[in-house]
Amino acid sequence: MKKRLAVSLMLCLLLTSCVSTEIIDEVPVVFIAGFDKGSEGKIKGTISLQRFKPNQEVETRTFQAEAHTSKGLRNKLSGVPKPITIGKMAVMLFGEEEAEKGVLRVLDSFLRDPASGRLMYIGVVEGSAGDLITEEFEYLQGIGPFLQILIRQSIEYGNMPQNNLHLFDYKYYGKGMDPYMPLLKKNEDEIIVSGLALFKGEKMVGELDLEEMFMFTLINKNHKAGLFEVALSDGNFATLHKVKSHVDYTIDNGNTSPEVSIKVDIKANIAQYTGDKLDDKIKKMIAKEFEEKIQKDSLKLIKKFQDLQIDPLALGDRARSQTRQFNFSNWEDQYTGLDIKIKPTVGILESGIID
Amino acid sequence: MENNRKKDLLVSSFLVMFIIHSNQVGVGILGFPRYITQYTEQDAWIVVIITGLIFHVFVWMMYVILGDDNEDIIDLHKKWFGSWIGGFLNILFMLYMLLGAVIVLRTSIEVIQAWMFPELQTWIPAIMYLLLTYYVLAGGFRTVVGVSFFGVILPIWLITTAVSPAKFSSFTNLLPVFDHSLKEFAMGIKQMTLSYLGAEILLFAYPFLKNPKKSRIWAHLGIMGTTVIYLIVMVISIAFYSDEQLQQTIWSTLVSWKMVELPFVERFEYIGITFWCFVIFPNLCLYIWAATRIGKKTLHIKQKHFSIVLLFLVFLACVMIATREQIDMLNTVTASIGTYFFYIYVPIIFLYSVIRRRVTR
Repeated sequence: MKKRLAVSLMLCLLLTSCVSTEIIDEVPVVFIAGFDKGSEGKIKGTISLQRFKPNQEVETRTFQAEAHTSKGLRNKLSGVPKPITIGKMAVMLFGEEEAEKGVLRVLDSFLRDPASGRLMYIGVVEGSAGDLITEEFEYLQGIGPFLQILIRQSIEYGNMPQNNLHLFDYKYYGKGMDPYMPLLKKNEDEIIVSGLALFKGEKMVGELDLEEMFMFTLINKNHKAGLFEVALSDGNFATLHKVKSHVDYTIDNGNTSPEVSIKVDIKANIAQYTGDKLDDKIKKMIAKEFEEKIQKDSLKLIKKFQDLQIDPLALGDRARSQTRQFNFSNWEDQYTGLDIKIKPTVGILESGIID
Repeated sequence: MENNRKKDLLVSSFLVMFIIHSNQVGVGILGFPRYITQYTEQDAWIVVIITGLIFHVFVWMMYVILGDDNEDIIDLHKKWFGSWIGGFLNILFMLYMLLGAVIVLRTSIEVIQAWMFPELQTWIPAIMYLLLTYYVLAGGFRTVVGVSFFGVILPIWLITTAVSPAKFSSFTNLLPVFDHSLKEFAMGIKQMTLSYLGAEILLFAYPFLKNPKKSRIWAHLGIMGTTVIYLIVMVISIAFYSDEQLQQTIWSTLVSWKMVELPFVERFEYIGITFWCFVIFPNLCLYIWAATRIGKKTLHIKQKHFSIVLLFLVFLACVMIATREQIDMLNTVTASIGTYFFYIYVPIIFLYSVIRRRVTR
């Protein structure tokens, strides 16, 4: 009996090698992939591979191919050693044209594949994503990790709203909200964040510039943003930093004629002031002018969203959470004509170590 | 009593908590939120609590049914309904237990195939699992309980991973509270019952407890533990996914593990699934153990020999089920059998036992 058991246990150990192995030193690892509109409705995919060499060097190579599905691209990438692993993929980029056509045909395979992560950043490139990836920038760590750090830092310390593959998917499927992605651009010999790409469903329909993106980030969620320059009416400038916003949305009569009011409570420090002396009066003035600016700009921003018939602020979802038996079709009929009030309050906390 | 209650075969009363809890939590927890939210959306967490409370009632009923005589349900069936009808009921029970074992094993293998090794054939992990099950069963009930104890203790730290998806969650998804009709709640509770199935193991384990009457509180604590864990998973799932997105996701709990960031492993699911084997295993052992008990008492076959036959049957069934649709169908069938068992059979036999004891006294 014991012998038989031992044999069968041995059998188990032998049988475990029945699936294919993937050894990290041998498989090519994709860090970044770009997707553009190809010919005849195909997708043009560009990937940048990193191979870890025995002498601790990292070799980066890029490949391009066209196919109808993003999984089909894998077959077409004939020059690439297989199998390609996407588990480490950190950034996915879309060319502007492909984003306008719809990103879901590419995203579907990444959402379906258990090997792919969902903390991956996705973004839109002004122009072609493929050109951006194949371009030889002088980034030491390679373009994939560089972009990952660029986007992560823009979110953590800058003025970009939180975003990744999961959150895009969340907003794509969620009712009463629309997704967005960072917009990137090649600027001579470097890559910069140029704003925010707005989506309606899976299609890109508009964009925000950096200043609009800052406003959006402030009123969208509680956020700690980076720097912002306020132009004052007396010709001076003040730069605010560590701008912290606390937002509170109240939506009444969600099912009949909705009234939206947004309270934005902002705390900021003054980092720079071009005038002579920064006394309490001036501080109050800066706060007041910043309030007026938020008031004016964010209403303009919301008007823009209403004209595009999109809802990146998730007003519909916030209305749902505050209304019993919420009626989405009524909301959607009324959305473009909604009356929205914004009440910003700005408090200046510190002004550095001098007055 | 045919149970002469040998002291060295018994287990401490508090262990009934682990027996019930480990038999309830299985593969269901990896994907149950979407089945409940399809009826009650943001109120699904209330359904979890209500169903938990209902199961507290069932546990109370089961204790009343079992009475004071250290008998299990197999003895009671025979005593109350005679050896023919009672025996028939026992055989039905046995099939139900086997179904439970099959569904747990096949679904967990499906998870392994879908997430880790797509090329893995079903029979390989099935054989590995079942051989191990035989090894545990050969050690007797005390070993089975030991497995269910570790099946709870070892993977318990996985709860902490809920923090990662919580960072990307919007908890306003839980509002407004109580915004569904009674009918929708009822539908949700019916679906939720599947995840709470497994408490029926008490009907078999009861005579093996050192102090059965005092084990009550522990059994209720077991149900409470299950409720708390399900509640955490449900709240996180509602907040982490948008409604439609959750409906698309087959294993929502596994997908939310994608948010875990560790420096040494990119896909946390691989660690999670591996630890999940500890959770699956007690289910398998307890179900098949209960089935062999029935075999011993009704068909008079030695438990050790009978377990080989049963394991072989489970193995065959697992290999024959191939697609997602079949697995889903099996889940639906088990859910309705389990629902009928708890909502119809348990109350009826509860009333019967109360009346019968009154009359005979």
